[in-house]
This record gives sequence, C-alpha cells and structure tokens, in this order.
Amino acid sequence: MFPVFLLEDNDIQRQHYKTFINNGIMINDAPMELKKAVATTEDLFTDPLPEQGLFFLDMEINSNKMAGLEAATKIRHQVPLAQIVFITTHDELSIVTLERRIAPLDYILKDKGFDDIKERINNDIQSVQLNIEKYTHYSQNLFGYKIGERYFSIIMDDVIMLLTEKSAPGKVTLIAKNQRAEFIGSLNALEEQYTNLFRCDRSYLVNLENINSFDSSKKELSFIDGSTCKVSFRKTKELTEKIKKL
Amino acid sequence: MVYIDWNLSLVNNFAILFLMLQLTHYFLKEFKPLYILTDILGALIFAYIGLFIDDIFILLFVGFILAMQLALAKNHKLDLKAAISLVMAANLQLIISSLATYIARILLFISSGQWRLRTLEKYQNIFIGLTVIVTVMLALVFIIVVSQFRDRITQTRLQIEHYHLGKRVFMISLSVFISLIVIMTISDFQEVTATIQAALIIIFTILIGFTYWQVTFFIKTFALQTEAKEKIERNEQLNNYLTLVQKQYTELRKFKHDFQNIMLSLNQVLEDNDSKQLKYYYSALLSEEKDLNSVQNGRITQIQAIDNDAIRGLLIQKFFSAKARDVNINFELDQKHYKIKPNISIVRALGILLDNAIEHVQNSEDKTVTCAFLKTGKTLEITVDNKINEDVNLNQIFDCGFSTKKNHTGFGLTNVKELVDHSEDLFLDSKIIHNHLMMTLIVLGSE
Repeated sequence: MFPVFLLEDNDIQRQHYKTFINNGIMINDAPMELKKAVATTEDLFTDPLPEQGLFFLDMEINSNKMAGLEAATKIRHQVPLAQIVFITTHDELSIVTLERRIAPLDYILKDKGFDDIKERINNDIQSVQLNIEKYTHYSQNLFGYKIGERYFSIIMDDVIMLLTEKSAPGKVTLIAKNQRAEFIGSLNALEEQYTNLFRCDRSYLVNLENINSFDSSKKELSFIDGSTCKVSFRKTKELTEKIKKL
Repeated sequence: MVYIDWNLSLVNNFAILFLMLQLTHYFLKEFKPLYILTDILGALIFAYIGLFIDDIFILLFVGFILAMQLALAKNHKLDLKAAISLVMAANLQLIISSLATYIARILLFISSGQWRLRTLEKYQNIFIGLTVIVTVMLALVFIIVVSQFRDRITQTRLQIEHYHLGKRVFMISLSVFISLIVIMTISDFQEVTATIQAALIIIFTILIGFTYWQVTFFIKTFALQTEAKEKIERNEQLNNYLTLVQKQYTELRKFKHDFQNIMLSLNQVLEDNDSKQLKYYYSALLSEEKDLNSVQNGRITQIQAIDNDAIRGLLIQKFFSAKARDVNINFELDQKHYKIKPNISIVRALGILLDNAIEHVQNSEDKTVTCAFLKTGKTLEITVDNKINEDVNLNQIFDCGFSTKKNHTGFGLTNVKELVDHSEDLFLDSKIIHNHLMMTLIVLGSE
C-alpha cells in the first residue's frame, strides 16, 4: 500500500482532511492508506519514513511559519521521490522559492473553503495513483547531479540524453522531459555510473527507453521530445542490437 | 645578413602564418576540421609571396583576411571580435617568432662554439628547424600562461562588448601591429645588425605589453565611470520610488491609527449592548487588525538585500519598465543579505531572462513575473518564472533564432547560453512545471 501522511496542527481541520483523504482513496479505489495524521512535526518523524509516500503538510504549525517547509526539506532529503502537497492559509506564498527547494506536487490554499480543499485532495490522490507504478519502479533508479552545494535528482525515466559541447568545456548538459540543466562532469564517469544509458557517440549518452526512431541512413537517433543526436559509425551495430531487444 | 635557402624560408614563413591562425582560433575558441585545410592553403600562398617581399607579407596576409571578413560579412561590417583576435594573434606571432629566431641563433652559437653569422648559413637546416620548434614551444608556453587568466580575459572581453569599445581596441592593436611590421621591414632594408634589431624588438615588445596593460586599465576606468553614472541614475529612481512607498505607508499608518480609535470607541458601545451578532463582527474586525500590522511596505524595497549594485540596479530598472507595460515583477527573497561577486555575465544573462519573461506575459492574462533569489551555502539560484499558455519545447528554445513570437529575432537565450558556457561558475537550469517556465541561473561562490 502506498502510504499517505498528514500534518496539521488544528484538530478540527485535521479531522476534516482525514475524512477527505480517506474518501478520496475510497472513491478512486487507490492502493493507498492514510498511515499517519499528526499535529506536530516530531510525530511525523517518530518512525523512519518509507521509500515513497504522499505527504499533505500544513505550512504553519503551532505558529511556526516555516515548520511545514522545514518538514518538507527533511522529507525530501530522506525520500527523494516523496510527493508533497502544501495546505496553507498564507497566500503570499513564495511559490517559486518552494518550487526550487521542494518541488511539491501541489499547493492547496485554505482560504478557498473546505469544498475546494476536498476537490484538490481528491485530484492529488488521483494523480499520484496514476504514477504509483512509476514511483515504485524508479524509487531506486534516480539520476542525480550536483551543482555547488545543491544536489538535484530526477527520475531516470525522464532522462532523455546527456551531452557535452565544445563551447562549454567541462560541463555536461542534461536533457530531460521538460527540463534542461547543466553541471560539471564527464560522460565517461556518467557512463560508468549509469549502466542503463547508452554511449552512442563521443559526446552523447542517451536513454534508449525514450527514443522515437533511428534513421540508420542518416545515423541519427530521434527522441520523444523531438531532439535528435548523432550515432557514431562504431556504435551503429551495437545500437541496432539494443533497439531490437527493447 | 644571413642568406637562407628559399625552401627553408618558405617553411619558416609558413610556420609563422599557420601558428598565427591557430592562435586566432584559440582566442575565438573556434576549431573546425575545415579550418585546417583553408589555413594550410592560405598560409602556403602567402608564405610563397613572403619569399619576395620580406616581412611585409604578414601585413598583407592580415590585410587579406580582414578584407575577406569584410567582404563575407552580411552588412559589410567588420566582426570586431574576430578582427581583434586576428590582429592580437599577429602581434604575438611576430614577437614570438622574432624571439624564437634569436633563441635559435644563440643555441646554435653555443653548441657550435662559433659566434659568427657564417655558422648560421652553414647549419641553416638546423637553424630554421630549431626556430620553428622554438616558435611552437613559445606559443604553447604562452597559451598555458594565458589559460590561467582565462576568466579575467573573458571578463575584459565582455566589458569591451558591453561598452562598445571594440573599435578603439581594434585600432590600437592594428597600429601596434603596423608599427611592428614597419620596424622589422626598415631594419631588414637598412641591413641593420641583428643586435640592434633585437634591441628594437625587445623595446617594442615592452611597449606593446604596456599598451595592452594601458588598454585594460582604460577599459576598467571606462567601466567604472559608466557604472558610477548609471548608479546615480538608478539611485535617483529608487529614491523616488521609496519616497512614494513611504508616503503610502504613512497614509496606511494614519488609517490604522483611525481604525484603532474607532475600534476602541466601538468597544465602549459593545459593553452597553449585548447583541451577539455585533460581538461576532467586532471580533472578526479585531482579527483583521492583525493582518493590517503585517502589511509590507512595498515588495520592491526588499531588493535592498542584494549586495551588488549592478544586479540591484538591473532589477529596479526592469521592475519599472515592466510596470510601464502593466507587468508586475514579484520578488521572492528569503534572506536579509545576498552578497554576489561582481560579474557582468550574471547581469547580462539575468537581464535577458527578465526581458523574455516580461515580453512573454505582457500579452497574456496573468501579467506576473516572479524573480526568486535562493541561497544554499555558497550556491545562489536566481529563478525567473512566468506562466506559459502554449506548449513550449524546451530544447527548441535554445536553438539560435528560435522565438515563440513572430517578427522577433529570439537570439536572447542563445546569448544567455553563450554567457553561461563561458564561465565556470554559472549554470543554467530550465524547467517547465505546472504550466510555468522556470529559468534558473545558478551562481557558485557567492557569500
């Protein structure tokens, strides 16, 4: 069962959200269970967290406006794939900052009333349900990179390719579904670390799970997002064999 | 004078020209397989010409390349970056090859034990070979030394571009180059002894060093001056705005004061009355009072926390120019103090990102751009976020010339990419999430 957690200090509200979550699970017939509904951050962390989970967090706990954010940071650190939803009254939320720090699944604003909250909770349960398999499959399979003191990780399934460019020596560009990033690294080291990725050329390391087609006359691979890359002559045979196996 | 066999001096000439072109490519960071072919061809032709006209062939060669660039350019305007690189490379090559000649000469004298020009003619095979080898080695030493200062050179180059000083710098390098050629040609013509020519060239080298030093100094002064001028203007704008905010805040305080007075008198009325409804509304109003206390005195004022004049100035300027287009820039800063190293690349990249975001939202419903500063240790993330309506392909927008708008050149992002590529402590991260485009510039090493 996919665990769901709730952190809310107000007893009445917590009771409401509990009902919404349980109803949401029931209506969608989702393989989830509400594991904990707690009032303090400490209670949330009494037991070690599972490898995955859906977390509904109130931003302000016992008049500490940052409590929810602090809890989320801790959760994200322990459970990289955690799905986090903030429930909050504070409408002057720093959404972009939160997005960069936590990348939550959703924000639910309390001021819009219980009906709206109920609907949003239901939607979030649905969207997690859709991806449960993906989370389970990829919970061990993340692509991670570091920039300065920041560590980022994305699901391997989202990785399309890694490439190096002459114009940016020492940097590796990551192309993923809906993301493009760069960091310091070398394709040789990454090729060794992530054996599921295929080195089709000196400057490309690609995820064959995300290819669209291979044009063998042009020696060009194209991917689901429309990007393309060259395949070196040496690797063509190995590539065709790998594609057949897919 | 030393008389050298013609095919040996052809080799020497060729080496000079070919190395010069490689230095130019190194400055421009452009290496293509095709270039090697054209380089060899061009260098061969002019090396042959050089057999008849002494050192002037280098001048002819540079003139020829510049003329080619001029002819091939779309609007017949010289690409100053390429031109400066070429002339600088030519200057360097002249000095390097002269130095190499003397070094080779001395080495040969020492090894043969005969300090006579005759020795050179006798062993001219070795002499020319040695010269070429020493030239290549000197060029390599130069590249190794220069690569230590790569960051500083890039900064200077960006400053030259930013303040449109390209033309002046080009003229200075060109005149240095021409004078160098003139000296060499005249001393050849007059058959000046090698010692005097060496002295001349050494003096000239020192002069060139000074000139370049002077040029960088001039650029720095110019940049400082321009920045000071911009700062005054920016401060004036900021002060005007802050005064306005202050005025509004005073009015708000006045209202709060009145509000509290009314509440107090209402309290009195309530004590004489026991309507439950009235008491309910009263308590509701009381809780509103709390919110009133937390009214922030203008979101823009918080960018005072950014301890970098150029970046703060840019943000203020963009904030106002966005306001004029009805777009609101919302700042998210979670710290009281952001110290950012002065780096012109950040200013330019951030400017382009903000311009793109403002331009994108100004015709849409949600006219908000968010700019967030986020710090983790010494890693700073500057995110520019705006809502997007249509599907945007992230990888396409990095292609040169791509733009989501018609009649728009869209070179912005390519420039950002170039700026980021050039510096080791800048990274760009772009993401589309919840229908928002988030462009993040990650800066390392800010305290």
